[in-house]
Amino acid sequence: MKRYLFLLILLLISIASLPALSADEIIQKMDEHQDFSSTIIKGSITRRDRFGELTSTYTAWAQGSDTFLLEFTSPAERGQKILRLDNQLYLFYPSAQELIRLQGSALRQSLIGSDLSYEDMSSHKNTLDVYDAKLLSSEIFNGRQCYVIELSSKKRNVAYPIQKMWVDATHYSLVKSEAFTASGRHLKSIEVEKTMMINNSVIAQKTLVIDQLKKNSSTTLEILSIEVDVPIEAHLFTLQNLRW
Amino acid sequence: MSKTMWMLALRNVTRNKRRTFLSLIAIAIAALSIVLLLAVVEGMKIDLKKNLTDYYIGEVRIRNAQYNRYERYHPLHLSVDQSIVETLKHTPLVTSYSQRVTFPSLLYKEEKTYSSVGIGIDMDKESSYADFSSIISKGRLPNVGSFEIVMGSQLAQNLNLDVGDTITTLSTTANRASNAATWSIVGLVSFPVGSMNNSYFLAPLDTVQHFLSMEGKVQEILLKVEGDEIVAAQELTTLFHNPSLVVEPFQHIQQLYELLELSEKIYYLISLFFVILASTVVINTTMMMVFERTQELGTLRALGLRPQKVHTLLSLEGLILNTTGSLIGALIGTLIALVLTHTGIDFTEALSGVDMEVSSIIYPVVYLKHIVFSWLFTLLISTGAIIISTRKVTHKGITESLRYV
Repeated sequence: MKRYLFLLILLLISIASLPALSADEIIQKMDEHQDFSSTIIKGSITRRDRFGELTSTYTAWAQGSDTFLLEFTSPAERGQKILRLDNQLYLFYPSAQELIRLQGSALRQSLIGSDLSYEDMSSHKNTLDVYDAKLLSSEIFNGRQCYVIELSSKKRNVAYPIQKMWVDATHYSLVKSEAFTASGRHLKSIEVEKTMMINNSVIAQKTLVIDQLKKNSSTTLEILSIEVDVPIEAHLFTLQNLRW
Repeated sequence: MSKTMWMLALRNVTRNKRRTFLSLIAIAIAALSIVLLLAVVEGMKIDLKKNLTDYYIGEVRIRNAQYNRYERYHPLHLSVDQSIVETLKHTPLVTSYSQRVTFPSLLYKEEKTYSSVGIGIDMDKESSYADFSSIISKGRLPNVGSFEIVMGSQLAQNLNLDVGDTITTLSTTANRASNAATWSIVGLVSFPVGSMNNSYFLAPLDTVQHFLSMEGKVQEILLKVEGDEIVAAQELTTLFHNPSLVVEPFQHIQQLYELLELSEKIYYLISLFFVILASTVVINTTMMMVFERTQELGTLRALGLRPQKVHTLLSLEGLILNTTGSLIGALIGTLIALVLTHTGIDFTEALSGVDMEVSSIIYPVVYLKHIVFSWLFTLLISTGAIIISTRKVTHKGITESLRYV
């Protein structure tokens, strides 16, 4: 009983100590904390399904959060590239003579069989441009004080019309997220398993993604190394470069 | 039975030429229709089995034991090692085999994607199994080791593609990753099966294996075997003694075999319907032929001919007419069917848009048993109708028969 009382007091203190921010302000801070002028990431995508576990590695270069180039380095996909430029996604395959521009329903295809879709890679820089935010509550999740925010899409053609996010109240980093259809069907869940501090910002180092529409499937994204705010040549993000 | 009765029956048959001619025509058409129908149905059955075994399942199929369970996910990593082909080469009961990789693919054209299915085949050795070169409608078969394909002619037409064009395909590899490649279209193929024509393309096996990260592996091996398929599959299972492989005769490949069985039932049902239709025509014509002579038969009985003799007379007339009519019909039907065996019957229009494993051109198959059946069946039906109608007529009183209009 004493234990429960202690936890209750702790919870009340923690709520009382949270700064009085609106949902929009929290989301804005979260977006700002993930916003670097440029990044170079070496990472891995580990996908698990009924047939076992497979890991692919990649190097990704990003300019802001709208432009990036991802090149796979693992043997099975070596040389395959994904370019996001001017809000468009282009795929390059070494054996294909033409670039594949993904649009419409093709964006819903899975990225190398993982729980991520290409659509997930084309998310908007400013969350509040697309969603209305509502602060639901604050709670402790995995030992971290979090704001629980519900996002409802302003537009109709959005991959996830409703999202529920757990945002770290101290670092304004994403801790957990659940995506739903407008009718409330659970589509995807994301959970940050490990974080790292870069330039005073906490970013997700290891993230578990589960596509709720797939059975026995999950994907872990892991950052193996990261450089931020480093100069990157602009020609890297061109269609001409993609072919090379 | 006296010679006089035979002579009388023959004279009666030739006396009213128009009536005799109409009866003969009705009986002959019934026999002809049955012969033709059975030949077409037999042709369709053989065609369906050939298409299923040539293009889909083989007479015996070898796959990874786990593949069938997860087939809807197209798990190309659950494959068969090509080295087992060496064993097949030295197995007398295997008459031919085909190593294949069948994979779903998205065709990318002008920023749009279209669903299709690719089959990787060994261009050098496939001809001993299914002769794809015979169904090439334009161009040629792809060269080994090249990024060349032949495409279903309808698929090419739908995508506005032709020989000399290129197309990029997107597929999931055996590593469950994705890959894309650009292929040159070197030929168009008119698959006998409409559904294949609308969505399939063929590519060299070695290139497909490289493209899908399946070097040295195939998705399945289709076999044609000597004798009974079930026995052959059992013998091969014992021979390989490999629990990671499943050797299945086509009768055990549930889905498609069920289709084969179901189609046979449907074909027989259609045949039965037409046989009943033909029978009603024969019964109707034969009975009318007897009933319209009620007055004449009444006169014969008034002159002293006993009912038994009238019965015999009509039966003999019927026998002459029915035997001749059904024989002529069965023979003409056989002749037409034999011609169609070579020319085929074009169902392209009728089957357009129908997703069935039946060819659009059906070649009827004539069996002697079907000719004999058609002849005997028509003979039996018409003779039965004569007996029933004669009995009715002879059971009438003489005065009643004479008053009959």
